[in-house]
Amino acid sequence: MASIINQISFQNFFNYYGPLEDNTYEFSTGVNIVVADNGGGKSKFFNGFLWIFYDEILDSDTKTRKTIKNQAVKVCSDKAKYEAIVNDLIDCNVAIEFSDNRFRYRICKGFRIKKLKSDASLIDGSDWQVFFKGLEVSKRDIQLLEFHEVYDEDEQRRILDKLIQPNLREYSLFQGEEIDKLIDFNQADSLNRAVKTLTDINKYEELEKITKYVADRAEKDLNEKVSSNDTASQNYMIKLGEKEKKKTSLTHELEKLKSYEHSYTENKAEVDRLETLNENAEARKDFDDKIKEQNNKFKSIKEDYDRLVEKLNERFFDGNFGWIAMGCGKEIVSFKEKLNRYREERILKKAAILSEDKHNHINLLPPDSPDTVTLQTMIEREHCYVCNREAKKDTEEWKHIVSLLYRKESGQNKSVQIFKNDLNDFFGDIQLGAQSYVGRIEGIENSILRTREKEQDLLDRITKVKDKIKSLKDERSHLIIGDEDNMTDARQIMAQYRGALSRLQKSEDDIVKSKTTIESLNDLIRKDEFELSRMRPQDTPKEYEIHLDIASDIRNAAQRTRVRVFNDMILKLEKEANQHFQNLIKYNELAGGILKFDKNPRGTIDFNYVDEEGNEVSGASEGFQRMKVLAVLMAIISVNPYGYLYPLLADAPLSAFGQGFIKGFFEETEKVFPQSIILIKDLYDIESENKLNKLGNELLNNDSVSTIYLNQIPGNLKQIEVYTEHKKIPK
Amino acid sequence: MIDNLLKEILRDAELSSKYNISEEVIKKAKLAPPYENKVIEYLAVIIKSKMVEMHGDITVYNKVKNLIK
Repeated sequence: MASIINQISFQNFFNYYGPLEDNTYEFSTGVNIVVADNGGGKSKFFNGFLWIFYDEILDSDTKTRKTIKNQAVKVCSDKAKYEAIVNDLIDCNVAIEFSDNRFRYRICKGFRIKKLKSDASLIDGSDWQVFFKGLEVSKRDIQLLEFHEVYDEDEQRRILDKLIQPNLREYSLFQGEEIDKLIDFNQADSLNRAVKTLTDINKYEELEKITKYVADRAEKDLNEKVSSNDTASQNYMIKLGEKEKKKTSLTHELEKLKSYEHSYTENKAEVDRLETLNENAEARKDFDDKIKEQNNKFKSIKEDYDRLVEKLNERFFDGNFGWIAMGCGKEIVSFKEKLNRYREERILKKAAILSEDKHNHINLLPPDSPDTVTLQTMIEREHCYVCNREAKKDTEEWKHIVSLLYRKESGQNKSVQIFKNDLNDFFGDIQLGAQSYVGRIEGIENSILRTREKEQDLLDRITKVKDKIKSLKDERSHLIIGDEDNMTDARQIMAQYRGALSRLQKSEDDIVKSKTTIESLNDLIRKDEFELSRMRPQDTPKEYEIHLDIASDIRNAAQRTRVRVFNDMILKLEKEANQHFQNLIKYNELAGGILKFDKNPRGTIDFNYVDEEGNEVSGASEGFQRMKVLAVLMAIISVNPYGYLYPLLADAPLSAFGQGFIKGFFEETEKVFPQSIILIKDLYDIESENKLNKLGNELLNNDSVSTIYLNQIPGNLKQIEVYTEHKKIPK
Repeated sequence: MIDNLLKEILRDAELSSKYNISEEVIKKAKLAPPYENKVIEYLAVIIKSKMVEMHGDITVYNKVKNLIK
């Protein structure tokens, strides 16, 4: 019967302020969930288990486990410490009740602290006196109501072990990323250790050893009995001697096999390490390439930026948009007005002078226009470019053009008729528009704006590329193992890898040869035993012979059974692991690979993650990696004919891996663990009426989920007054 | 739990054939007496002594040695 945690209570333990009865959670078989947002007391809750099992708590500041002895003041509720007066005693306790099919047990660990100063610090141990209590254990028959104290320390220890056996605690009690370390697929022995711990395969090994011992002793007894008999023939003694020699050879060969297996293990670890390193080297090369590409990009953008900055001075006097003219737009208008006024006045003055003779005409083309060169051209080409008409030689028009050429000498300027025209503005605008600065003054602000935008864009791109380079370098740094970064030359790693691979192959061959030799020696020994049984003196006591016969048969059967059970287990393990894996990832859009288990020459298990073609898959996401570990862990438990007899206690096992993985995890956990208590944030939704998100509400209606508790911190509290409230969410 | 270990060893083809142990007998086999067969008794005593009572190897041997008189 599995051990089931019925309740856990806290008293002034971290945020769990107040007496035990105010902070009691009741659980039952199946899946139990405690939902809390960040700071809602999940890790503190988990710390209760760490205290009960290991006398430790996880220091959230350093992320390391520390013995509770030095952390008592920190562990005690700040609110309780704050409210205490000098000489007040504060109780801090964690109590767990659990049951099997016969008894209900209660385990409590606690301490008291006494406030020594009115202005005592909330964390300084010297301001408080701490009194630790011993482990308190009591039990009652499940049919009865009254608990009885258990005082015997051995009994207390046995009861604590009954809750979760010490060697199974690492597989039953884990927090977040610790799951990844439960089975480290890069460590050859990690999987095998988990298999040995969680299955009964060890029992078969133990049985093989004891049956061998019994058979050897039975043989020794028989031989001693026969040797002491005078009627034993010389041939019998010779045969016995030969057999003993073979047994000595067998012992030596078994020693050699052990050494080959040791060598195999070492080389396998080296190959695994170098494979990881090689993968790292390749991955590092990828990163180096990417960093190089980003560096080039950075260089190019930086050059663009430097060029832009260098050109800023030029832009002040740039022919297109001379920034120096910015704001001069009004000055141009003012200049134009003044120029027009000047021209107007000048002409009016001229007109006044000439007005006495009404026959004089004057055109108000700009003074001296058309110019001499143009007039010369017009005369030669017999064409007036002012009115764009023909002016044939010796015609009136042609003669007029000629007269204009000599107007200064002839005094013609004085004799033309005065008339006013509107060409002033027209030519003024042409003059102004011809100035490169003037026409574009209005666009300068826009030009500056565009330049600033370009500068900002370049700066943004520089920051982005810099961030990218930093992120790539950070990621790359995780691939460095020890000082291996110096050994960046992939060829060097490959050379070592080939060496280790070759040594691994040799130790594999040695193991195979050695096993053949052992088998052959065993055959010879069995033949000798058969012959010896025929050569034994007639008066050899039958019971000795029967004893040896049965002991040998059982020894051989135990050897064969261990191999058979182990081989069957590998097959089942692969089947179960893939089934669990597929169920765990079924709500994820990506399909996972195949988990492959093989027996290696040493007789232990090799694990690989492959695709459908059998090619090794690497670089799976963290979510898939964790699901692999969980699937294999669940498979190991599932192949055990007795299942698992202890609860699973996990804090944030799948934090940030998405709702799909979480859903798969809850569905699958229920199939393997008789009880699980999962502390999780990912089902919390502050907007929802019951504070559970969609998946949380789905789970609430799922029959396999027994209870869901919600932890909350009341709002508007000072840090010193913070405490955790909890409520059971009704189904 | 330990009964399963006994049953698995008894399922060994060579052993069950030599001592005529049927599947029926294997299913019923337990560590506690009465035993259907001398081999079952012999094996049950080894398993019980070593793995339940946690005896040392010598004690286990002496227990099974006394089974055959």
